[in-house]
Order: sequence, then structure tokens, then C-alpha cells
Amino acid sequence: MKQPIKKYFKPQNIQLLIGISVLISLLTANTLWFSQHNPMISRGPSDIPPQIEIFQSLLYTPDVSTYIVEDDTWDSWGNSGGRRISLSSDSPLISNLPITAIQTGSDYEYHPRFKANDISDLELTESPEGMTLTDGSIQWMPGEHQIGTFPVSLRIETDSTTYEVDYTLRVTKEFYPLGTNERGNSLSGLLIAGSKWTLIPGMIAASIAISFGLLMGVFSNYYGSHVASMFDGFSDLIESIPALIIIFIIAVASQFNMYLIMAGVGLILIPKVYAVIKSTVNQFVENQFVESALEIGFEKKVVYWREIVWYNCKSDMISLTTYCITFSILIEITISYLNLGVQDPDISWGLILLEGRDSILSGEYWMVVFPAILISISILGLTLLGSGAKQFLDPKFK
Amino acid sequence: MNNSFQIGTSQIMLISRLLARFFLSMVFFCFLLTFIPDISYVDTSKMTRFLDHLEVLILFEFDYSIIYGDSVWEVIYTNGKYTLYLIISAIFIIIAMVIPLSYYSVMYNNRTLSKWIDNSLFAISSIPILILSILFMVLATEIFNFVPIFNQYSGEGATFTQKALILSLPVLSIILGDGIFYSVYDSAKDKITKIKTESWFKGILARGGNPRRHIIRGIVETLIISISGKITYLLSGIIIVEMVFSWQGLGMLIVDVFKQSGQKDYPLLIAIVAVLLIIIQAVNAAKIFILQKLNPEKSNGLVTGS
Repeated sequence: MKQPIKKYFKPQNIQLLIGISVLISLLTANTLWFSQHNPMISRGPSDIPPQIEIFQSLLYTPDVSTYIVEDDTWDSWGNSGGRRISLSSDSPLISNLPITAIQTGSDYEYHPRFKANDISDLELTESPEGMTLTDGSIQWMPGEHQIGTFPVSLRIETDSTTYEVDYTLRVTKEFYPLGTNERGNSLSGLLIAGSKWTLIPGMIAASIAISFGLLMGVFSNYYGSHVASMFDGFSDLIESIPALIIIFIIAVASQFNMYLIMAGVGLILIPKVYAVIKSTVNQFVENQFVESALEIGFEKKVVYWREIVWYNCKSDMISLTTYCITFSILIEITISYLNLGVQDPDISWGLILLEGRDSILSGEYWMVVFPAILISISILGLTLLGSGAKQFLDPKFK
Repeated sequence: MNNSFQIGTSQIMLISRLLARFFLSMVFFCFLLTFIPDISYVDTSKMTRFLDHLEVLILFEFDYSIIYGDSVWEVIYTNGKYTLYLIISAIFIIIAMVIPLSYYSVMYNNRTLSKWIDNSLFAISSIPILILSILFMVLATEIFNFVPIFNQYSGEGATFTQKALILSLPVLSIILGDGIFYSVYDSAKDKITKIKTESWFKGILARGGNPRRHIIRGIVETLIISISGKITYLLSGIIIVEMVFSWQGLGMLIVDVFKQSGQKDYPLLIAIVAVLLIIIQAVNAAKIFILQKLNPEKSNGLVTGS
């Protein structure tokens, strides 16, 4: 009988789907970086806002100056000879600001909407070659040779006053979908390059934490209370100091070697894995099927590893692995942001955030907003992957 | 055996246990410090270094900070009070927000708003503290047109409202980021759900009694346990937000010491970690004392070791 499609839209399946998509994206970014390496981070003009139109209008306020032209005289070169009074840096006359960063060969169109109703005339007084004003709309397609900055001046006449609106267009040869930083590096390339410090270091931390935590969790029950109290003491010791401080020590001691730092992160995560595995093992040891298996004559070792660890800790281990990877990504970003992790000229998401911090003041928000969104999506995706996989594998949730 | 004697014994045991834990953690920390490369310890063995650091701790050699050229305690007092503002405000806001939100979410769980609150809190909880604080900074700069950094807070002209606004952003980042708030909210919700199914609570509702009073009394214990369990995370979060908002607290001091090249300021570092560990142990002690007061069975249990 055909299963209704609704059956597959369980919350855990959706979580799993989102998680797997994020994991595949991270893997693709890693593969792209390792296959292409440096050419990906193209160098161009600095501080170019995102060239995807919607991002540019959301995250960048262009410098548009509006003047009142008092004495309307013009010289033989077409320059305004009158006195100009600056009104304000943000346009008091136009309600929609123009897009100011475009690529050669792309269509540029700006249709200014005016706050005043009595507009009698509109004229382009300064513009790059080929730019036209048709039906109140500025149109242009920059040619291959038109790379650089181009001032645009729009003369607006109302019944009583003459205004002039000035802004500068920046035309680039390459397309920067997410803009560039102050060194002129493409942000999208930097974000792909920064992804190399996500999965591989995360796997290092996870493998150390899971293997030691699993062994400790099983041995604490297998060998009795003395071993358990020794492991508890070790966990208490590690957990008694805030994790970040131990990471700082490891970072400085290892001369900012990220692989060693991640090994340290794995060490810090051992108590967490140990606690989860220990509680699951303790819970199952008292189950009747374990007692029966032992009484039948199965070896204790076999019962522990096959019946308890393999069949019943699998879902825990999957969710703990994603937790460890998520935690290590967070640690990498945090210590790189604090300048105690990945060091310049290497690239990491934390370093991109650190570089972008100063640009917040100058209104260049794309430098921090894109990395922030990417990091949040990655963390959320991996968390959902862990939770979805746990529910998918755990028979209790079926 | 009278009851007051029992409580007294348990308190002494508890304090000695916490002191021992504090001392062991500090010894472990001093041991870890020996791995940091330092020009003043080039030809010294790890054991000598370890004993040197222990000496600073045991003999209280905190007279001089290499970075600030001042008494270590003076530096810690000046910076520590700002960290304390963050911790106290964070704990206060968690309690003030968790109680009404979890109550509303459980008691009116079929309403759209309650589901919306639940889902939004879950989504926000997966945002790291670092990211949340940077986003708050962007929002404050763009919407409110001010830069919420420490200089604005400590400036002479800052009014109480401005100070409260600037303080609120790092505090909100700490509590909402990394799931600290959500975890406390979730445990409070679980507890309220459990209370809701109890027969005595159904009896109160049937008699037309006020459920709020009973629920608040019921979740106090859960709140104390979950908040005290999150104190280490709060302190780690404080280090991050202090760096983002340039907040002159203990977290910033720690990062400054680690970033310092050449000879490190070990007395300052040891003193800061000691203060942080004292805060952790003090919160744990407060938790146990309050739980004993709320539920006297726990104090008896502590004496008998059950």
C-alpha cells in the first residue's frame, strides 16, 4: 500500500534534512577551498558593498549629498557657478537611495522617488559616458573599459527651488556578491576559505572526546566504583575551570596551532561525553535483557560492547559527535575573534568578524552580518542534525 | 540530636568540600600555566615553575601587576565590579524573564503566542554569544545611533537610562546566546508541566485558588539548580561579551594577559582565575544553602551521606 506523503514530514526528518543540507554545504565549501585555494579570494577595490541588489540596499547606506542651488548660473563647461548649500548627508529629497556598486556589463537602473510633489524638471548634469535619463529613470550599462569611480549629479527643479543630488558609482570588473573587505578581498571567497576551520578541526576534537569519553563511560561501570570515582575526579577537575580559560592556555602554549588547540577542545569535551555514556550504560546494565544475557553465558565484554554500546549508545554518540563539532567551531570562532586562535594571514570566520568589527562604526555592516548569519546557520544546522539523527536512530522515538 | 546541630555540621562539611575543590582547581590551573612559553622561565624546569606559581597563590604574593604596575587586588577591584554588574544583572534578568514566560508557555500552551515564544527562544538559543553580541552592536549602531561600548557607559555625562541601555546589550547577549536562557526556561517549563499534573494542584484549581503562587513556589528549586549549573557558561560568556563591547571587566583582563608577549603577568592571571573560581564555588554554596532552607530533608541527607 502506498504510504501517505505526510508520514515523511515528521519533525525529526525535517531536522535531519536541514542538518544534512548544512553539512553538505560545509563539505562543498571545504572541497572548493582545498581544490582552488588562493585564487578564490580575489583582490579588488576595497570596501565594495554587496553587489547583490537586495543585500546592498539593506546593509549599506550610500553617501548621497543634496544641495540647494541658490544662484543658478552655468559656465561654458556646463559646471554650476552658483552657490550650493549642503542640506544633509542623507537625502532629504529622495526617498529611495541609489545602488552605488555595480559590475561592468550589468544593467544599472535607478528610478528616484521624490518626497516633493512639485517636481518640474529633472536633468543629469554629471554622468559617466553612456548614462541616460529616460522618463525619470537613470539607465546605464558600464562597458568593459569603464572600471573605477564615476560621479553622478542629478539636477532637480521644483516650482520654487533647484536641488542637486550627488553620489558616486563604483564599477568593478569582477562580481562581488557579498562585497569586499578593506583589503579588497572578496567576502564570499573569504567565507568559503574560512570554512576549512570547521569540519576537520571539529572532527579532531570529536574523535578525541568520543573515543576517550566512550571508553571511560563503559569502564566506569565495567571495572567498578574505584575506576568510576577516578574518572569522576578527572571530570570534576576539567570542569572546575571555565573551558575558555583552559583553551587560552592551550592556544598560547601551542603557539596558536589550531590542530593542537582542537585536541585540547577534545580533552575538555571528554567529561560531557563521559557523563552521557556513563548514564546510558548504568541505565542499561540494570535491564533484564543484560542480566539474562550474562546468565545465559555470554561474555561480559561482549554484552557491554554489543548489547549496550553498539545497540543503545549509537544515537547518543551521533548527537554527541555533532555537539562536539559545533562546540569546536564555536571555540575556533571565539578564540580567533579574540586573536588567540587562527592568525593572520590565515583565514577563519572569527578573524573575518574581528576585521569587520571596526567597520560597524562606518556603516559597513556586510562585513559582520554575512559571517554572523553563516555561523548561526552552520551551528543551527549541525544542532538540528544531531537532534534529528538521535531521534531517527533511537528506537524510543519511533 | 537536634536539628540545628545537624545543619551546622553539614555546612562545615560543605564549606570544606568547596574549599578543597577550589584549591585543587587552582593547583591544576598552576600546573597548566607551566606549559605557557615565557622568556623569564627559559632555563627553569616545569616543577620549579609550578612551585613558583603555587607560591604566588599560597603566600598571597599579589602586590604588583606587571601590566598595570599597580597592586593586583586594586586592578581586580577596579575591573571586577563591572564583571559583577554583568553577572548579577544576567542572573536577575534570567529569573525575571523565565518565570512569566515559562508560566505562560505551559498554562496557555495552545495559544499561538506561546508557541511563537517557544520557537523563537529555541531559534535564538542556537545563536552563539559572540554572534549575538555583534548583531546587537550592529542594531544599536543602526537603529539607536549609539555605539554601546564601555567608554560610553563609564563616561561622566552618561545618564542612568543610557547606562542601563548599554549594560542591557551585553547582558542580553550572555543570557540569550548559546542556549543559557533556553536551558533554564526549558527546565522551568518541565517543572511547571509536572506540577500541572499533580493532584494537589488540580485540587487548588478546582477550588478556584490562585495557581501562580503555587507554581512560583514550585519552580524556585528548579531555577536555582539550573542557574547555578550555568554559572561556568555565564563566566565564559562574560569573557566574550567584554571583548565585543570593550567592557573593562575581568574577562578583558584575562585576554590582555594571554595576549601579552614576553613575560606574562602570572600574579594577575592567578588572582583573576581565583576570583572566578570563588564566584563559581560561592554560587554553588548559595545553591546548597538555599535548597537546604527550602527543603530541610536535603540537609539531613547531607549529614548521613545518602
